[in-house]
This record gives sequence, C-alpha cells and structure tokens, in this order.
Amino acid sequence: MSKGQSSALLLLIVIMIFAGMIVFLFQLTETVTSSKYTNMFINNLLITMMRTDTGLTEPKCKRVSDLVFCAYFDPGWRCGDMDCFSFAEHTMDHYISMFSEENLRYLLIVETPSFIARSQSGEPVRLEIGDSKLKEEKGKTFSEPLTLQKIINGRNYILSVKLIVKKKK
Amino acid sequence: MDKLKSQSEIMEYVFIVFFLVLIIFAIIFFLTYWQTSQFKLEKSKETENRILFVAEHFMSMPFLVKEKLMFDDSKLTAVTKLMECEDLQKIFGKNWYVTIKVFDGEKKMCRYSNYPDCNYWEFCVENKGKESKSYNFPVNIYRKKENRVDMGVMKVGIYE
Repeated sequence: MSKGQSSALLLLIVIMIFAGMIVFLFQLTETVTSSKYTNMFINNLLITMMRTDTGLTEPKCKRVSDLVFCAYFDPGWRCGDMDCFSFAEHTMDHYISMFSEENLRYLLIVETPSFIARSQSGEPVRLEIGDSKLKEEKGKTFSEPLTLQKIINGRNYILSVKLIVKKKK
Repeated sequence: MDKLKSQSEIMEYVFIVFFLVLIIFAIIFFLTYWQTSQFKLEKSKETENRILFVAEHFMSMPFLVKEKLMFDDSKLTAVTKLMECEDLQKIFGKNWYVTIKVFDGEKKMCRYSNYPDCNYWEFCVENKGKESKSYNFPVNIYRKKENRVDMGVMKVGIYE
C-alpha cells in the first residue's frame, strides 16, 4: 500500500471514530432528556399510590399507606380476605398494571429510619413488596424516599418508602 | 517499465481522489443528519418541557385540586362546565389537551347531569387528526360526595 493510500485510509478511520463519538453523545443527550419525565412519573406514582383509599374502612386497611404500616408492624392482621402484606401487594399490582403503556415491574422498599430498627446482623429491618429481583438488575429508576407518619395507639411511627421501577422487556 | 510506473501512479491518484470525494460526501451527509437531529431534539425537548409545564401547573391549580397531585372531582366538573378551552389557553398557552380518568372501570364523561356517577374529564378536546406527543401522570382524584381518594391518570398532550 502506498503512502497516499494509507493516509486516506487513516483519515477515513479518524472520521468514522469522530462520527461514532458524535452519535454516542447525541444518544446520551436524548436519554438525559427523557429522565426528567421518568423521575416525575415515579415520584408521582409513589405519592399518589400511598394516598389512595383501598375501599375498606378499618383504620389499618383504609389507605395503601395504612396497609404498608400494617404489613410492616402487624403482618398477620387481616384486611378483608387477605393479610395486610398480600392485600398491599395485590392493591399495588392492580394500580401499577393500570399504567399498561409504561409496562412496569416494581419493588417497594419499606424501612424505618436506620437508627430505630436494625436486625441482629445490623441491617435495617426492611419490608419488600413487589419484584425483589429488581434490586440486582440494571436500568431501573428510583423514586425519592417518601416518609410516612402514623399515630398508632398514641405512639408516633415513621416509615421510609422507596419505589423502584423498570420497564418490562 | 516507466510507462507501467506512471500508470500505477495515476491509478493511485484516482483512488485517493475517489476516497477524498467519498469522505467529503460523508461529511456533508453527516453534518446534514446532525443538523436535522439537533433540530428534532430541540423540538422534542421543547415539547417535553411544555408537557411537564402544563402537567405541573394542572396538578397544583387551586381551582382544580384539593391539594397537590389530588384533583377534586367537583372542581373538575365545575371547570369543564364553566370554562371554555380558550379560557384555559389564556393560562396554559395554546396547542395542548388534558384528560383525567379515574381507575374504576369504563370511561364515563363527567357532566353536571351525571355527577358524581362519572370518572372522566376532558379539557381542550384532543384533535386526533393532529400529530401530538403525550405523557401519562399518576394522580389522585378526591371524590367529594363519597369523601374518598381514588387513583387515576392524567394524560397531557401537546400538538407538534
């Protein structure tokens, strides 16, 4: 190969690398743009879901946030035909499935602030509702942690909930 | 021998010129693509920002909500009756539409005559013939008569 040919080939390779970089940056910008909506969606989803009435009138089962408290502190309690945990999961499955266009998998992580409750191994006591495999996967979106507060028998209880979602393939 | 050498040099030049022309065309093509993509991206960003703007303001307008992210069904019904699309466009700008639907079965448009036995509100009716981009937002709807909070979806669309 002559000097001229090799220079031309080199030039072509440089241009291709340059074009590749530009396309990569362009795609990156696009991803960043749509994340604004995703963040707003997931935070709204968590807040609105927690405030929704379940249709039951019992104080431990009235709203989805009450179910979360019940599932955390008193999982054996029955709300209608189901225990608190199953009813919370059933209700959340139902609401998430309503956003069929988004086609989502979810995981709700419930914890007390770490200084209040820790297991014997030192881990915070944690309740998980939904698809726990999501913790290990990439490409998921986290909501901002939401603090729930409830007075039960004159005592103030605080829980921190966080929602993780990922689009189904 | 000299003739053969000159021929091969000419061929070399032809190849180099061919490659250079190819590269120039590739650059022109790429720059055009880049410009078009940038324009589309800017337009898409602007549309998205407008959707988020309309959504955020809709979810916090005192004449529509009980509290942030929680619409009051009586206020929604009153606004659909009393305010025209033009009145709302004075607040939110033009070229948009919003629908709110409670997750409780079949869609039933809310009017004064059937309130509260309804679950769907429409602001600035969607023009299906026009190209638009839309996003869904989870919202609460406070059912005033039953004193109950339901969950629903607000769809905000902007015409492109």
